[in-house]
Amino acid sequence: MRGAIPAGWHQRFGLAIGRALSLTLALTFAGSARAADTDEELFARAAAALEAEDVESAITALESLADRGFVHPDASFDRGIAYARRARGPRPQVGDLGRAAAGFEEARLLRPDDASAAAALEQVRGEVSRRRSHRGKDEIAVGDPPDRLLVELATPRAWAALALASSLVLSFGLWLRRRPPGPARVTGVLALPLGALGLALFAPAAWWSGVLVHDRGFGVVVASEVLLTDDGGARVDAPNVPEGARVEVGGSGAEGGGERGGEGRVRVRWGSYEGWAPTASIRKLAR
Amino acid sequence: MIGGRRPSAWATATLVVLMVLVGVALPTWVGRAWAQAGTVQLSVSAPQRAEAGEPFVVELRIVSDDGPVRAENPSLTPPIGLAGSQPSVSFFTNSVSVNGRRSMQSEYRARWTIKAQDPGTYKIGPPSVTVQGERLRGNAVTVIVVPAGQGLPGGSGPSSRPPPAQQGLQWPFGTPMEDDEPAALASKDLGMAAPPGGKTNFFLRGIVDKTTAVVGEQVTLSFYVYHSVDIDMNERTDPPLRDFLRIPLVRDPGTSTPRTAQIGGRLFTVRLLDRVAIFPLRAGKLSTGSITGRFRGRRIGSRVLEESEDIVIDVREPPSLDRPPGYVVGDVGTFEIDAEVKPRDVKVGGTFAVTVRLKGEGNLPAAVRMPKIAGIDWFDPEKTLDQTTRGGRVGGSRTFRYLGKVVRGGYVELGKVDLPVWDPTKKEYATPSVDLGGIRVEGKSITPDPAASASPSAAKADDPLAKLPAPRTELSSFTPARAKRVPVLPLALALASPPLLMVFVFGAGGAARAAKRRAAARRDAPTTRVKEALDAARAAEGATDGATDKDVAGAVERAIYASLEAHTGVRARGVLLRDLRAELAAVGVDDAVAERAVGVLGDAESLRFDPSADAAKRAGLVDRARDLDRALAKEAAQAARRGGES
Repeated sequence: MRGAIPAGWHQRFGLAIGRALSLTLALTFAGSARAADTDEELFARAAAALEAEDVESAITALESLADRGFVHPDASFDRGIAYARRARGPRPQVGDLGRAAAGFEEARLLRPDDASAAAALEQVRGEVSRRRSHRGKDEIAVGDPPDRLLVELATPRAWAALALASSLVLSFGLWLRRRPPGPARVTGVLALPLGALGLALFAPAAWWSGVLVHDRGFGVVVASEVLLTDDGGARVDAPNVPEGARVEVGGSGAEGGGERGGEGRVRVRWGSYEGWAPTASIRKLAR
Repeated sequence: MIGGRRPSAWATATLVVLMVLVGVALPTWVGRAWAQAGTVQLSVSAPQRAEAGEPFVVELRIVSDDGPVRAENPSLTPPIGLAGSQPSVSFFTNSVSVNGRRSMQSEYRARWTIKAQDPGTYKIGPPSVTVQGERLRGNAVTVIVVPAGQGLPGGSGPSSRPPPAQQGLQWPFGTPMEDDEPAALASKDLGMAAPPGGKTNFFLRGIVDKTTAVVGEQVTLSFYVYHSVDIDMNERTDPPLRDFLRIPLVRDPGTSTPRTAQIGGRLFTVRLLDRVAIFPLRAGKLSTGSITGRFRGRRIGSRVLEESEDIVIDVREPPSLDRPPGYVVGDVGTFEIDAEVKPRDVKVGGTFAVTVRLKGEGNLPAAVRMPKIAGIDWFDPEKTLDQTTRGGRVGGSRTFRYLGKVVRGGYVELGKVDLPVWDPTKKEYATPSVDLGGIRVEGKSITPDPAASASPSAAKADDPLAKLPAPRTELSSFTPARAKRVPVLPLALALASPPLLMVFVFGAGGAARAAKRRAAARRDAPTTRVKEALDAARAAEGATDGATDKDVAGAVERAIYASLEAHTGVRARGVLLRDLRAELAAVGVDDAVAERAVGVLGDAESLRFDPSADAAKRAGLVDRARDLDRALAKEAAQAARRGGES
């Protein structure tokens, strides 16, 4: 039998098997390596595309990062740069300035001391204002909702600590007030209303600031303008929200955390105005 | 004293008069000053010249920056030789949002259509109107009426010029119209199958020349009143047109020749109320709103409110496909562009002017993009606008005068100015452009000072994005700050616990003290003493450890005294036994019960102090005492019931 097998058969067969295995392994690892680009590699690719003025590739890579749930202020910043460059390039798309503002706004939210993100955001908003003025529209400057001041003043934990301290002061006052007449009783008479007042103020502040921080997010308008509507779909008495404006998203007793997916609407607050906006016209910011 | 009192009386009288004057006159003066100080402005306008037999309009206009104008009863008496109509009244409001603050301007107009049969110079007015309860008068106006057919300069003459707008709401372009003959709607366009809502006498109708448009494209909106009976219009409120820029197309609304239309087998007279060019400001389904008016007539009554139907226009942005770079949404029309550069020979550091003119039909763009040339800084332009309407189309020209500062020597090519627009007639983008040529710059180039060049540079003026920072090439270290949620329920418990604990401690202490007090009161109560004494008597009665009859009798006495005190209030221990019956009778105790009480007490006393007392007195003494206590309790209960019923 052995003599019937052509000479060198073993070598050729082994070589063929080896090549097939090598090719299979190469294809397999190449594909998995491509699919499993790390976040850092994807970011590096986006940065390189930006360096090469390939804005579309950069946007694709940065949006992939965002879709993966990768949250980093530098990625958000570069996304803002990419959209801003496309907005001033030869093929701008509607909402590019808003998306650029969203990138910078997100970078600033993630890293509040990011001065260059803040400056870039100002420049994008300036461009939005300029383009609006070309269309004969006023610049509309609206700040955050007034109750956002709670979050800016202190964290929910700080409010909770203040409420707890007020509760203790109230209890202390209750105890001292039953003491015999004297300095201790006077202290109790003073501490009792102070503690009650503090508790009445700080306990709701702790709860509401927690709601604002954890249940409400921010979004940026990525359409030319957004018309706010009420539950019935009628326009609310508010100016149109301009592109690039930051709005608060979610809440207000709406189902599904402020979204009506079936209707494609999301609940937003813009300054003291509140209403529903098309979901596609608002880009939610990561936090 | 006499000399001293007179000056005092005079002074008092003078002071009173002064106070009255101040109290009455000051508010009046302040009110008038406020009314005239700018919240309400009143003006009257009319043409300087008119033709005999041709109508012209006298208009009274009131503008308020402080909410809606409350004006009524406009009045104008034409002089002899002139015939005037009833006033046509309209309201107009404009809400402006600047930096997030909304302000409202409102305007009230009363128009009289006047016709003079004979030439001459007529002084008309002054018209008057009641504003917020006060009658205000405008200025009289003088109109020169020339013979018919002599014509007036400017075509149809000043009679048809719109009232000056500078004192009232500013028209968006603030310039007079040159031609008020918009494209008339064909009679067939005025017709309809049936009157809306089955209205057979009159109705208002708004008509647009198109129901789909792009942002910035002109849509012509006309309002008509259809009537088959004689009516007059008293008031008119224009539609809000919130999402549109509006430019009036008709100079004298209401004075056009009426037409007729056959609707539902009924002949209606159709009058044009107003016609405006509207430019959508955004994409979406935009509503124009309704025009409303109040009418009166013999067949319909007075002040009948009528409202036109709302019109929705589907507005979209021009296609993004093939959109030229630099196109600004809203720049729609057919335009030409030319430019002039002066001088073309300048020195380094000097300036030259570039005047760019746009003209054409449509929504004239508000800006042009100047070419970015190294060594030239463009200053903000000076803009002028000449808005006109011709054949119902809005157009005109807009001029931008730029100053350029040159910092580079030699020949500088200025490049081209492009104006990308959407042409709605061809449904495509167009980019008219003009070549600016070049300038010769004498001298050596100036090294640009970054601080100085930042100020007037085109980059800053035209493109804020030019200074965007460079992208980041590496990810810096970043730790997301995760704010931990404060759990609501534990927090609520933690907040409520200290004061609640304190309240609980105090409450428990108070309750314990109260219970203690109640126990002590129960212990000291006569009924308790009765029970204790009876129990002691019973115990002594059955005792075998040496308790005597005296012990039993003493306990029974204590029980009866306590029972009497508890149920009758009589402290019997201080009363002689022989007087006890009378005492008890005095407080309403039944005589038999009183006698039983005396008997029990007497037996007990005998047992205590009479050595010869027999055992018969002792037998059943405790039971008699218990029965007596029950009887007294019953007596007391009955007495209490009687007291309650009475």
